[in-house]
Amino acid sequence: MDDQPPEGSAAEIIDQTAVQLAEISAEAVERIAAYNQAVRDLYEQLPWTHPVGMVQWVHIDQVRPNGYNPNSVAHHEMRLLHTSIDQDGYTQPVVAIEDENNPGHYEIVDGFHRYTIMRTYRDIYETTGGYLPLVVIDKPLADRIASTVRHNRARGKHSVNGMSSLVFRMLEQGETDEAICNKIGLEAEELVRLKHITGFAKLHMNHEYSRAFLTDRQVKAKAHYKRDHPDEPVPTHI
Amino acid sequence: MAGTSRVSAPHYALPGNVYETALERIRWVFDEFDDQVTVSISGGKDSTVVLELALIVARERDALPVRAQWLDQECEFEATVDYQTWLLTERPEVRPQWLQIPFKLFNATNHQDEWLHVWDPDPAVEWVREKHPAAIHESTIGEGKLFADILTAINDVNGGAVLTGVRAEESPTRRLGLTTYPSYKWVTWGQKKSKLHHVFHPIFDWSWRDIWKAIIDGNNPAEPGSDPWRYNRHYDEMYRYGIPVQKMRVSNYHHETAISSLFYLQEIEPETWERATRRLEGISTAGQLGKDDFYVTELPFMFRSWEEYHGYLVDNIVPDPAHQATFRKHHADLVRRLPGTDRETIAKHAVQSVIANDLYFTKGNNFYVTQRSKEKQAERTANG
Repeated sequence: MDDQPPEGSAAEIIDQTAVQLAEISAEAVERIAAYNQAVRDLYEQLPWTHPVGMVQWVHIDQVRPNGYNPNSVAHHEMRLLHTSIDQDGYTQPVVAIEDENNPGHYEIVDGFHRYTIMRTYRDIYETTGGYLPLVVIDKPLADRIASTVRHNRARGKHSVNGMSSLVFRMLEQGETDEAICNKIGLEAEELVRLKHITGFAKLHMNHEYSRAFLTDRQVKAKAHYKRDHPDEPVPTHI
Repeated sequence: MAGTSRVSAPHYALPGNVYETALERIRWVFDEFDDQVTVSISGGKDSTVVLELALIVARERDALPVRAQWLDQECEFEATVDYQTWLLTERPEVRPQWLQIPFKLFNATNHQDEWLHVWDPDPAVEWVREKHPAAIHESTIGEGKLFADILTAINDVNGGAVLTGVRAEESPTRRLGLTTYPSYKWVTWGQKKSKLHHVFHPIFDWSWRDIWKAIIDGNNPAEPGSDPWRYNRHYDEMYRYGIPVQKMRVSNYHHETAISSLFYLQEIEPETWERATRRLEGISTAGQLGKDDFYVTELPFMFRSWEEYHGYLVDNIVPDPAHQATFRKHHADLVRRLPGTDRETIAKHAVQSVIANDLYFTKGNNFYVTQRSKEKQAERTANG
């Protein structure tokens, strides 16, 4: 389990590997709580409000993936991410929102793969006893989707089909074209393409077919053939 | 479109447009070969058109079903597999010849492992996809053959005529080839691969706009858009992704001219990408490096010239000495055959061929033809 991530989708992986792991001591839990409180207090001292100023260590069981993220990372890249975290540790927190109906529980906005690494690799899990570095942002659902897309797009990898279904969800929630473009950093042109669900073949409906031609050499080839085979018809229209 | 000018001699107009002319060509092929016609399909838009045109002709003369042949290359886009599966298993007018048999393909994504053994029978190999029950799984023509040899051998057994969707729009070499020498009787738009069958390219002169026009007109040209031909949804995905229409390719994703598709495969079909990275060494490098690193536009600072860089690349990233010699020869041939072109320009193009592992020099030959016609034009201008 240390080196090879299990097979299957991320959701399946998470289910099958939610095995019993050694709990960390009560004393450690207390120290984590004290750290979190101290960071919250210090954050008040900051003259600005960037979320990264208040990283909290939260147990992974209180964190869940979102259902809409169209980002994807292949097996191979997951291994690279594991190597990175194994060698350098967690250098970036997971970004999440707090569940309104279930305080103390969080849904991931960005960092699903950092989360999955801790879920699936025991060696990483054991470095913190399952505590994940988290920063919390405060956003309603439509804005959360936009945050996720912004994070993905900023890294340049984003699933196109997932992207179009996301755009449709935002449209269904009554967002205007302009708002969608602004929120997720789409160009108007991209949005038109994403909304163009009927397929783009229609764009060519009004085209006139090209004329057909014979080249000089083709005409000669026909003439030569005709000369050598006078009894055989050689069509002139093709 | 580019390609109709310069390299071709004078033109004589035919009575019909390309659509009508292609139908007439196909009618002639059916006549000539007593309805013994196979359509070679890849899942791309061009083969969609040829197959649908052949079906129109076969309906007219009561020659259904038409045999459609797909040499399935395993590393195919999911959208292609879905479309081809529909064509080959759900259309009663089509007689499927779906081949999922082992063969060798040149793997353009990787210099270390240059041959991809498609549908490798080795049980240790995890195929990108499972085989389909409707396909032919056992090779009757021997193992370890190359793509082109496989098709030749199978079509020798089929006999008659093979129709393909080959077009010459973006390849001056190909256009010249398809309008100059007859491969069968007086027909220049074909290829002679063996004595036992003949290959024809009835839409060789279509532009990509003509292709999409035919697809959207579909079964009811009187009302365009009312009954379009179904086509590979990969084109819609590429469109949404923003790939220019002229650059849209549906090909297996390790083909040397399709490497650019790797840069968006990861985003368009994440699951295919996932399986492909396990199967093909080199794919993830292409995806992670991105286009700029894979196709070099700037001379890396540590080299003084493109020629030096070319020499370095051949020595260091091509493992097989025979292939090293081939790449050096390609470069030397270009220098010799393009006396009026700056050597650095030549070397820069030769570098792209090495990086793309273009052992057959498809890119290089296209460069040669366009560059040579430029040279000729310059010579003409100079001579007044």
